[in-house]
Amino acid sequence: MEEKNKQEGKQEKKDNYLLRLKKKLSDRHIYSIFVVILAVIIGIAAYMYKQKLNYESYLQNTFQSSFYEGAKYIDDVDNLLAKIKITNKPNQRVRIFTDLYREAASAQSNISRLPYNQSIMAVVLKYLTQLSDFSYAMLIKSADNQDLTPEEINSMNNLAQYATVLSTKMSQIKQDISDGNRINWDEIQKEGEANLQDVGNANMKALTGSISGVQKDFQNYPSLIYDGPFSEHIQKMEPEFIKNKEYIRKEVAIEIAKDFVGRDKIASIDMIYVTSTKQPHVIPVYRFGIKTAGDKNYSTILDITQQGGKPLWMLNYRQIPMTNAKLDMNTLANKTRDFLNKMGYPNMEVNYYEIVDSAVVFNFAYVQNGVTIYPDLIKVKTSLINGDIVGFESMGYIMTHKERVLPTPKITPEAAKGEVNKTFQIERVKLTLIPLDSKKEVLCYELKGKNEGKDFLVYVNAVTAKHEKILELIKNQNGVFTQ
Amino acid sequence: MKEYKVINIITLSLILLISIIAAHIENLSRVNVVAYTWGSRGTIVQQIQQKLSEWGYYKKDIDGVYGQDTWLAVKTFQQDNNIRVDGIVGDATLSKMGILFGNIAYAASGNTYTWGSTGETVKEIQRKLRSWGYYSGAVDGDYGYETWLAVRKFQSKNGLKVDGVVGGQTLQNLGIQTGGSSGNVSREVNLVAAAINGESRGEPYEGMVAVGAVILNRTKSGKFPTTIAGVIYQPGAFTAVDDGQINLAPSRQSINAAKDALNGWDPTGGCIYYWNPGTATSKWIWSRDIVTKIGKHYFGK
Repeated sequence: MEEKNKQEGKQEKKDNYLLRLKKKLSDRHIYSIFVVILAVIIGIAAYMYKQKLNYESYLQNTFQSSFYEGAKYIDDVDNLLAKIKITNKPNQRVRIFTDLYREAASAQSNISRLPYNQSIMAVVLKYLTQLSDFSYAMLIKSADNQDLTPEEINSMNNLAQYATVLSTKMSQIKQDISDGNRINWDEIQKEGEANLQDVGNANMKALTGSISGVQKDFQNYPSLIYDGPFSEHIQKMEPEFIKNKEYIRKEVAIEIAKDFVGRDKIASIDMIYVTSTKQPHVIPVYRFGIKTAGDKNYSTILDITQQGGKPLWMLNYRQIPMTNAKLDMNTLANKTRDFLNKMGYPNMEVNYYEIVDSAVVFNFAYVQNGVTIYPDLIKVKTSLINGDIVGFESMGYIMTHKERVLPTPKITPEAAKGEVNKTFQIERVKLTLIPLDSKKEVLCYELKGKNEGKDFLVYVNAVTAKHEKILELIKNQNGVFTQ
Repeated sequence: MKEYKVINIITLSLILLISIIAAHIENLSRVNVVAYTWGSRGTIVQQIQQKLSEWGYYKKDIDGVYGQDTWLAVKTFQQDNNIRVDGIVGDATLSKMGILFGNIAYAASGNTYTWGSTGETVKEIQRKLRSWGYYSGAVDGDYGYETWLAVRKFQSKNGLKVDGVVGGQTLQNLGIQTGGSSGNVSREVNLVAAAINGESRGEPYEGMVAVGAVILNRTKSGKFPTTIAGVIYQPGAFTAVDDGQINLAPSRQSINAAKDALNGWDPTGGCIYYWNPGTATSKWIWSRDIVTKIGKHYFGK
């Protein structure tokens, strides 16, 4: 009963309050203040809304311009690919391949700025990158006055077919726009967030400007092999160093991990990930997390390959305190080399080191019969304070290392020196095996020298005397070339 | 009584008004933080931790992340110094700690040096300024008032923006090369670090390196833009870019992770996608093979 009274009392109070509020609102003064405040709020809201519209149209216009530019370049590419079929001499092709190389790259960069979803982007961008990359490889070839092989002609025809697919799609969209439709980039972006498996379906109502429809045209896009960094063979390379080795059990891997990090430094070690071995082009690993005494979290992570049981990478991310006490670089380099030797990587030589905060990253390359094998690269990060190994990275070595049959140089070092301009002052020459962009390995004389006060490395092919690469050594206090 | 209510309504409306305006300004310019508390990051937090650990209040890693340990240490510090014990490092606490101008919060990270910066590069700056007669103080690696004056003098003499902040241009004019602008670990460090910072908050360190590695792998895959900036700013590619978190000053750890990634460390073994299984909205991403799992992220090709 009492409870009820209380509630009624409350209700009454509330009614009273509302009544009073109503009265107050009808009071003119308060009313006008209220109106003023409301007006100000509406004013601000309107201003903000207008600004939002401004930003929105600015963004839309940026997308619009990227779209039209991209479409133009795709059209050009389509025309160029049609033209090149008519030519029959390398020197006629040089010019067209130069244009193709440039226009395809421009198309790639413009299209990549558009908010299409990842699945369609992956397809279209890969095509445009490969087209540009392939054209560059063919340009180099044609400039050397070489003719295209039948396979290359075949690849080119394939590429041309897809250029037509894309260019047709772009014309459709442009037609759609001139019919009065507008590309709503906001919608296009949302299409990307939607259920992407449905997007490829023809049943879905197509948005103006969407290119998802071409996905099925690209289903049979062939894998392209040529001399370039984006060629398909690079994805499919096998790890030479371990490919014929046995798979090891995790009990064995844990011992390898302990030996690698040093048993005295380990308080506890756990296996934190195992890669499934079923996937193609993946190096399966056992991943270990290591704690040293007093650690709450893992301070070192280490991957051991399942095949062959080799350490793939290691990182110790305990922060190294900044101090000025630094060890002598030669001592450190020797100490690190000894470590590699002990771990089963003999004949490694430092080429370059770079100081990163309180650590130094050494680039080691394998040396075979006095020839520096640059692809067989191991990076080791060593603490400048106490010489501890705090990082290790051997992907390069694992992918390429083997005992190679090196070709015999056909030209002498003296002849190689004659291949560069006389103003280039050569300081030293050595034989090296370098990887080209296509990962093909070539035997080169490495000429280190100065030109107009700048340091360069020039690579002259030791068999064909062709210039393979010119690198400028950018001088800085932290990075040092050692030989 | 009536008067009181009127004032009440007016204050309420004013608060509403001010908060709308504040939200608006915040939105437009993302004003710099002027106080540091839970979740703050960056070089100033690092300095706070440094000071606290010097005085024995703080015993954990100086990682530039304001977490529970920092919070507790700050509270003890405030208690001992008769500052309101709220765990928020504001004006009063900062000045008690002797961190000058910390509340102006120049994003003094990466390759910019200003008030309160310390280290080898600051020494180098002082050395150069001294040899040219701009600076007469000690070469102690501590960016204080005199260094600030000298830098400003140098900037005005050389036609640079006179702000007392030694950034890229001033460094170049001083002829100082820093770790950030060299060799493999190039100018891209800051960009990659910012992306890592925004994308992998709360991830383990190898997860941060992995995010950096994915960015670099994308530039080499052909399925993405071929430059680092292109990859990071590709529309819809990274949530941290879409929601503006990339504009926060990267933490020390993110910078280190970016350097490791640029130096070639790749915990993902060549992956070009990653997603958080808890929040990933796109089904397509699940059609990728999962190569590895680090922290909360799945990595795939």
